Amino acid sequence: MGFQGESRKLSSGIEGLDRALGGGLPRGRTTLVIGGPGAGKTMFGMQSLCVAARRDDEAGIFVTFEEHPADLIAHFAEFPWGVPDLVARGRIVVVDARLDPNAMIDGGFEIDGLLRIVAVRAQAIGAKRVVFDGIDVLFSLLPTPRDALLQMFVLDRFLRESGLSTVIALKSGGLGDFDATFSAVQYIADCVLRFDRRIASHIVSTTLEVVKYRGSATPTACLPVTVGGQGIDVLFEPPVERGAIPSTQRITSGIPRLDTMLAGGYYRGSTVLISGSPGTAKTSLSAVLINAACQNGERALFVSFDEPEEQIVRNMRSIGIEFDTHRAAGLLRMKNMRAASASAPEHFQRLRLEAEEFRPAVLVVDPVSALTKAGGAALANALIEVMVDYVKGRGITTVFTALVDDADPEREVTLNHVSTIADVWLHLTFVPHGGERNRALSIVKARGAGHSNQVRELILGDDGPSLADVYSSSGVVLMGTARLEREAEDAAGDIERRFGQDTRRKEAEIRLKEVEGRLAATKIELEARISEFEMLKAEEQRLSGMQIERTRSIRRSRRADGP
Amino acid sequence: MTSYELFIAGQCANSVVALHNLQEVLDRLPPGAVELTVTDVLSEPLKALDAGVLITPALLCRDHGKTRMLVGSMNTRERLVAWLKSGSPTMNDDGV
Repeated sequence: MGFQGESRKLSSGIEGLDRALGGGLPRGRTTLVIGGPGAGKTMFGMQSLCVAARRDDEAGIFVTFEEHPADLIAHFAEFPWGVPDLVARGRIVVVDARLDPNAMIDGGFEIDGLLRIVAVRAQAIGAKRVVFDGIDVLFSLLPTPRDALLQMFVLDRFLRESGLSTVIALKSGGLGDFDATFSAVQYIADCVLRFDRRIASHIVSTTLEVVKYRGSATPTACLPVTVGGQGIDVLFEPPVERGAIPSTQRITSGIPRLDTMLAGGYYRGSTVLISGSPGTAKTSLSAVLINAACQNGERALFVSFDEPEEQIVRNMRSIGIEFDTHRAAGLLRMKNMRAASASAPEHFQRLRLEAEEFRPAVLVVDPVSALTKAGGAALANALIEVMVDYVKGRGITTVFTALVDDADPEREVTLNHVSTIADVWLHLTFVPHGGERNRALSIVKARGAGHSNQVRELILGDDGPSLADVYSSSGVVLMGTARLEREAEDAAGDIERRFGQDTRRKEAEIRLKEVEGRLAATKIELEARISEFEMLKAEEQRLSGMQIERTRSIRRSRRADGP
Repeated sequence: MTSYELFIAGQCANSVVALHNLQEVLDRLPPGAVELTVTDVLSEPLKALDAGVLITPALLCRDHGKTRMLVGSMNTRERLVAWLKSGSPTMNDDGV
């Protein structure tokens, strides 16, 4: 961005927003800030004036249509901008543009007088900035939306002629017929910002959307916002330049076989997503990376949203990883952020603060789902992008663990988004078999690396996690005891098969012998039956011959004349 | 005698209409019944700021330390008269 580009914009008083808008708000033009009640519109206006006054000694005018000036000053006295002091020194002038609540209103009115007063005051203190806070309140007292529109034109003309850098804060919604008018007047602004404030699970989350910015590239996604004791912060990290050459240096995952599967380990500065259901050793897999980095003398930051630090230290000790040694050496910093009930953007802000201070080479966020819950998918996605842009910009190799929970579709959305922008995605599953649940690791993707498509069993041994081949048999992937059993079986397989065949041959032989035996016996029987038959036949013939002879001898004795 | 102060913004439409409407009512009053001062905010902005008037047209009536304000083009004659009357008990319904 050249000098011209710089001079066209001026700081909004919010660092992250200035980065997102390529320098800040349009100089000498109007910025419309839209949002529901409590979204931070008033603070936005006040912060922009105060920061400019403090940092660059720029004077500003704050025109209030809602709050009493004294209340306003008291309200912001707590913030580190020194509002009362700036007002006392006349660097910020608060113009009370509230209508007397007892005033009777009849017919139309105009704001020309008010604008004249603003111009005079601005000139008196040399102000280049002005904030109109809640002008919609005044406009909604006009008889028709048409009158309101006309007054908007008046305002527009004034602002163009005055050359003041202006912030107009408008409430969104709740204005009935006037809503259409106010959305129609977005054209008077060169820049339109919309705050969205949501409450989910008792946690307030705010996002900012750049609706438009004339002549300027703007982030398309909504930006996570934090509103705290320091004022408003917009979380934005400039995406890594398209032309930037990513690192070709590899960093070990801490598991040699995994390095092999990834064709040499993770790329330095890449982002790794480790997803899986509870208990699939996501934390352990992250811990080995930290362990390896620390052993190589690099700093690592472990941010946990689940378990307390000491519990992680104890658990990792059980698999042979000594976090205490690394902590003592000042190489490992562990931060548990569970206790703090903060919005997701606030969590990220704290995480970033830690990272800025410690400057780690490796970062683990366990689990990333904690950062993305309660705030809706849009905020979650925006946060993940900011976070990835941040770690990439710093060259921090980062592991995000993500809980896969079928019962929570919102988290699934989150996971989808993380997985889209992560460079490496490792997925862990439980494979139940034979009364055991074994952990399986697969590389879903690994950008810029030839990687294995094969599933491996993740074994948590006393000396750290390792990978084992899985056993594939009859189309079923076997693990754990089942794998061991089958391996043993198969070692003895040949013998077993030979033994089995032998047995069957013997059985067949016996059956054959049996049949042969039966056949022999039958033959003998047949012969017996044949001789029996022959004998009976011969007997029959002999008896028959004897009968004929006897009849003849009887006829002969009785001297018969017939046969 | 009651004093009124009308703040207008130059030749702006609502100010012009308000001045006209107010003048019409006041013209019916006997001379010296009320006193009207007209201030143009565009030429005397600081005076208007001191009076706490930023929106025009605005009619002010200062009475025993209390200030009453009527904002707008005063299109409804009855309302204008009622408002004027409440600060001036001697005025009749016709604004006389």
